[in-house]
Amino acid sequence: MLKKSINLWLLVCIVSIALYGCGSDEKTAVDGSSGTGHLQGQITLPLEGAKLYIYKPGMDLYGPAFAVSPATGIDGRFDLELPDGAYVAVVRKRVSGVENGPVLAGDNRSEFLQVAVHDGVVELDISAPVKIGDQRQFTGDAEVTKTGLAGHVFDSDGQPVEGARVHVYDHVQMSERPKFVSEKTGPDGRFKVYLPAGGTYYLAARDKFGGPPKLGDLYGRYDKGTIEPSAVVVEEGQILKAVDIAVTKVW
Amino acid sequence: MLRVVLLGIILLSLMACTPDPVLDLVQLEAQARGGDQAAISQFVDLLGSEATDVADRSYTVLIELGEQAAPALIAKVDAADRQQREYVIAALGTLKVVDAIPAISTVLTDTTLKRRYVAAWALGEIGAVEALPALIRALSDDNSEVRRYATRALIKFHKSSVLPLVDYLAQASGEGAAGAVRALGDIADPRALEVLLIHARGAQRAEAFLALGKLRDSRAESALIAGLTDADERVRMNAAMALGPLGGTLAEKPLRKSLEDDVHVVREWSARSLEMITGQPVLYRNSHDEFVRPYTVYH
Repeated sequence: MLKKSINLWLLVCIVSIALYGCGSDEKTAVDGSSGTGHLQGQITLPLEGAKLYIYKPGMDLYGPAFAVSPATGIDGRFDLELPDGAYVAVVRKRVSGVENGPVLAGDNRSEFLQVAVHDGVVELDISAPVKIGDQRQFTGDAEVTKTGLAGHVFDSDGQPVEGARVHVYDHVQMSERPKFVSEKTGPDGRFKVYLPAGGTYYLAARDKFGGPPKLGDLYGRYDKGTIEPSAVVVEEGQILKAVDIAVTKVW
Repeated sequence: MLRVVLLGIILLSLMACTPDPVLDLVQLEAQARGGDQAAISQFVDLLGSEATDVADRSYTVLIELGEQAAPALIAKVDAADRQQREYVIAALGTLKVVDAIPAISTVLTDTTLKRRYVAAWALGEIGAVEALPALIRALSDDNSEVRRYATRALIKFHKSSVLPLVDYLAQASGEGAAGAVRALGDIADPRALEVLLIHARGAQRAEAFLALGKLRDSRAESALIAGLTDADERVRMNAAMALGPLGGTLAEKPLRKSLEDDVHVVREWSARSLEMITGQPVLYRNSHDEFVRPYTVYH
């Protein structure tokens, strides 16, 4: 395979300088012109510690990526080798330092960019401004409905697990981004997820966000050992209780 | 003589006051990588460390050492400390150490021990048929995690676990039977059809219907159609769920009747399976009395 690379020059918006008028209320121009203009622009600097996430067309752009670059250095550059093809690229840098999970207010993220790699080096300049606002869909942010799930997350000793989240999927493969995510469990391991409607759902609990579980993570699906997870059927208007999920270390 | 005794006491006191030497993990790792069995054993002991990062690092070192770590690991399979035992068994599973099967099987069957799930997991990773008896016994374990991991391990054995599971299922009941049914469903071997059809008439029929759907054998179609009118709504749902992948046209009419089932999810799964069988959009009545198409749970 030919070696190709995407060299990325990451630029971050720091300050928008806007020079406005002198603030004078004086109307001096006979022809309607204020006599002043605007000089606008951005001062940028390289973004350190950001990663480029590469997706193939059709992939869930918020799910696990096809490839992830190493974190950028102080010059904001890096080099990622990819097979020939069309891709969607996005830059993300999370304040928490984690590689996966939702991009929250305060994190950096770029727009999604269409990239074609074919036999050579592709140079990209990408702006990854700081995200303002927070659109994550945690249970605490979700509307309290009469439909949902509640239970406990416990460990291999049968003890409640603190700090885990329950991820709720509506597709059996559970490979895409979870549809709903609970708040972190407290010391008692309890969780509750409100759902907009009844239906068939698939669950997993874990102590880390996003991406495939890694060695040492606490992870567990709601299943009975089968390859596919067990379907959890929630009726409209019902808070299904005692949905307990065991998490164990990933080996 | 007295002076000698006093000097000895003073020296002993000084030794007792000397702080424990700081463990140099880098040096220890170098020794272990050089084949020093004492250093390897020390890493095995560190798997029980309260400092999780030390235990995790030791685990990684031992995995990287590979086969040369096996003797020291096997020696600690029955460690009293549950954390150390868990790490040791996980390492032996990851390294696929066949010689560890008897010791790990003993842990799996000792119900007084904690974290036995890892023994079932490790036997599945090792994948040698000598582990099958212990894993099949574990299907009826009192601990749900042990049952769950035993089921998954048997699925990993695939074809080589089919006949032992069929033999077991012929006389099994309760949780043990349910686990065997689930495992045989995921393995999807036609040799399991007969025994699954027997359980499709018994207490484990809800599980048996799911398993029969995975076998995709048309000989199961009439049993699944009968399940659509079962008194238990979970059984009806599973029967509807299984008929879709089976794809038989005989099921079309009964599934259309199930679109009128009292239970929402039975109607929904009937519609989903009808779409799979006919290739046509099918509407069902949701809980808001709206006629809608089921969403696709499969990508």
